Amino acid sequence: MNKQNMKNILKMMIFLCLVITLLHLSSRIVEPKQNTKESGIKYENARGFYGERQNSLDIIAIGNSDLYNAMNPLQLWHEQGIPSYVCAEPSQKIVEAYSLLKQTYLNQTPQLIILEVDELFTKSDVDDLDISISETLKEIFPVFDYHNRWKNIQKDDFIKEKVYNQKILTKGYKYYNNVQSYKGGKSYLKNKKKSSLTYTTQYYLNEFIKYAKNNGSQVLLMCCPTANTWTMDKHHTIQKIADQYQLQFLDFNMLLDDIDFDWTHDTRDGGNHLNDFGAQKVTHYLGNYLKLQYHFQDYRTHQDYQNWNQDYLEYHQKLKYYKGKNGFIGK
Amino acid sequence: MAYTTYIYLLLFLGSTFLLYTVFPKKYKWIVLLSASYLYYILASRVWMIIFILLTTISIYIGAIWLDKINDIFVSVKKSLDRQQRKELKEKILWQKKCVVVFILFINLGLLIFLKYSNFLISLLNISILEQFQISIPLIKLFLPLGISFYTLQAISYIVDVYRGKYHADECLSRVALYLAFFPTIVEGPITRYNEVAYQLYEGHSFDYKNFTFGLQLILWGMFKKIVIADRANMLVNYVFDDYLKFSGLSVVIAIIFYTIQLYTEFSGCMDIVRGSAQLFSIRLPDNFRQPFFAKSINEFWQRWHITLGSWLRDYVFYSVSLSAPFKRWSQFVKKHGNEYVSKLLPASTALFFVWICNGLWHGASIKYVMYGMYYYLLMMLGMYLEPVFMKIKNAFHIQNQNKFFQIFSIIRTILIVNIGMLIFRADTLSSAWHMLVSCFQGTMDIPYMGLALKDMMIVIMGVIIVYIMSLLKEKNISVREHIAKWHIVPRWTFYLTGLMIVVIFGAYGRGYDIVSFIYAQF
Repeated sequence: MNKQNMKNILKMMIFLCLVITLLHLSSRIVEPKQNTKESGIKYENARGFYGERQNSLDIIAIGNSDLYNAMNPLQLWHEQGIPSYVCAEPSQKIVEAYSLLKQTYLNQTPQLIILEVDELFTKSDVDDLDISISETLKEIFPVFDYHNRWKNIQKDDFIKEKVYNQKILTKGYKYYNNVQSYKGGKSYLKNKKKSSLTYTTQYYLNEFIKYAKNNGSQVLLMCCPTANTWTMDKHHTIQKIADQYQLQFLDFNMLLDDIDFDWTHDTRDGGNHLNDFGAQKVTHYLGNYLKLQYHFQDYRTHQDYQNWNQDYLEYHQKLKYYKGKNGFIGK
Repeated sequence: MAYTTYIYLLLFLGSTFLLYTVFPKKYKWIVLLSASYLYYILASRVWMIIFILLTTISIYIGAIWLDKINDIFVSVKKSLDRQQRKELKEKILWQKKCVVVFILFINLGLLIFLKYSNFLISLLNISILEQFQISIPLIKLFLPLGISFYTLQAISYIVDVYRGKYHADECLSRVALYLAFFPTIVEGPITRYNEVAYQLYEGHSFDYKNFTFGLQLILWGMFKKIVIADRANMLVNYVFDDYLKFSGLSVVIAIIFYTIQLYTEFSGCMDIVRGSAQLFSIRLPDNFRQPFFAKSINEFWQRWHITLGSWLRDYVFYSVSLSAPFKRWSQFVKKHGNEYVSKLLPASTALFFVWICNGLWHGASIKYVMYGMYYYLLMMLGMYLEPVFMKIKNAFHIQNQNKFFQIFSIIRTILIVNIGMLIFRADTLSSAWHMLVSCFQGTMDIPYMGLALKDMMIVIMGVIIVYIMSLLKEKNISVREHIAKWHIVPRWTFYLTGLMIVVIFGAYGRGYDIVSFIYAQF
């Protein structure tokens, strides 16, 4: 290699170092300083676990919008005394779930991780790879995630350190009480849709399960009732994966009769998501299932968990005033 | 796999570049060809590669066939007398015509079938079959990625060989690479064989200047696409999707924003494409030359989508105007018609085909045909009324060099182009007409148009930067060459600022929709 080439390579390396430094510095500025929507955090209801007492959650559930409409941690608490949190984001992909999983272990040591599996069925490896590169970049340089905060940047953003300690009253659940029926019954299970997982999804699913297990958590695969996307073929695909990893798989689409689910009443948008009526049925069944399968301790009378009882009461009090407000998360 | 995605920029382009750099010079083309086919498979459906392979093989064989016919003529012509030579020449010409028509039939036929059959069926249903209360059902078809671009390149190659511009290439991989080169496959530019094929095939060693200039061009393209175009898209969609709600100034702003969007997006994509190629030390032709400095519509189309314009000129305009029936008709018009009209009529007839093709190339719908006709009619008006315009100019003592007249001409052209853009963007012709009329109605108030004030300011600032760069380019100042001469501290500060502007002000991620390249659908 001649001298000029060496010089050019050295120049490129220095330039790259400068780019990395700038990305790092700008990340520190634009990254939200609190885990609240007002501070600019993305999907604050999925990140309210930061506000929970350290190592107080037994269950962390991760998934897409199907999950935050179907699992109500406060109901689960009230009925079974299990402290849980729903870390669900709209249109979440497994790579984002994996990133969120890693964040949850920063202040929690859950016994069980629930993964909502509808998000595993993606379009193509190309899209998944693109998202995985994007997610990796966002993890290293949050400026790629929060660059749009330039619009609301304040003096504090330059000097303050981030303090994530804000709670979400509903523990990640989103309350909706409107009804928009789905009239197809169980026929959606016969639909033909792509039912295989991309290689990228398989890779991240494996990483997800490995990471949870290495941190001492069990993993439960779960699918909420969803008529717009779920099929019997998808069920078989996930069952195979569950068998392969020796995991439990709870598919509510197969349990519609057991939970007395009514598609004409329990969905808020024609079969895509559940409303609170549907969520109550799913959460009730889930609570019994968890108690039976995993023997969780009941903390309802435990002194350290009295705030959960208060949260439950506050949630129902606030709900009286917010009956008509869809997407209610307690704020 | 759009050119602005992480997977393209960091993974695909990055790894292709590394492989290209480490491969021996003689075999570098293998990296490009493999990467191009891989890109095609990843960005499309696996089986769709059949279409581009079919085009590649057909034009490869066709071109060699044409050369062989020529060779037969050359080898025997010396042994023939004049009459025999003439007869053989005619026979050879006929054979060549048959070959080229056959190859065009395969490739154009495929393009027409896949892109236009539903359009033709709809026309047939509406115009004739509806009266008999029957209709032909539409066919569910997939359009192979880049078919409108690589088919035009394939035609240019086979026609050039037919015309004797150059010989057929016996190297199949070179022909394949020319058609499938991954940066050009989605949106062009529509290149010519003699300009790029050899460049693509011959290996280029790593060149630091080309590498850095390529990266700068990609960054500039990203700035235009994700900082300006994707942001402008929000306002454009908001107004055009609900145009009945808007009138007056807000519609004017939406039309201007669409023009900004289309220009920054398409030219931005071309910058990314040319930048990607420059990393491998490959020079691709430019598709834009500051179109908004054009003083007439003619000039605008010489500066906008240049490679499509020159393709239409070489393979439609000349093909029509040099054809035997057209020549006969021209002579007939000259003999029997008015001198002035007969001078213009042949050109205007050939141009009609050019603009029909231009419109239809953009899409299989009446709207695009009318888009082509809009420019055709304007050009015809310009041509036929030129004496009138000259008289007016003389009467007012207006010189073409007059600065005010030049500015007036530029503004007039921009105005005409914006109306064209309105036709191009509106869902239907009637909605375009409605929006055009509503520009002159309503108020000067600007309601919320789907874009926050800060975002709007970014678009405006971005446009000012693009304008300054265009102005410098118009004055033949190469900004990249100029900056390259700066001291390292201001130079790197400039580059790093550019990069951070794209990272921070880019309209990507949460709160912004992923906007597909508009021209990728053509």
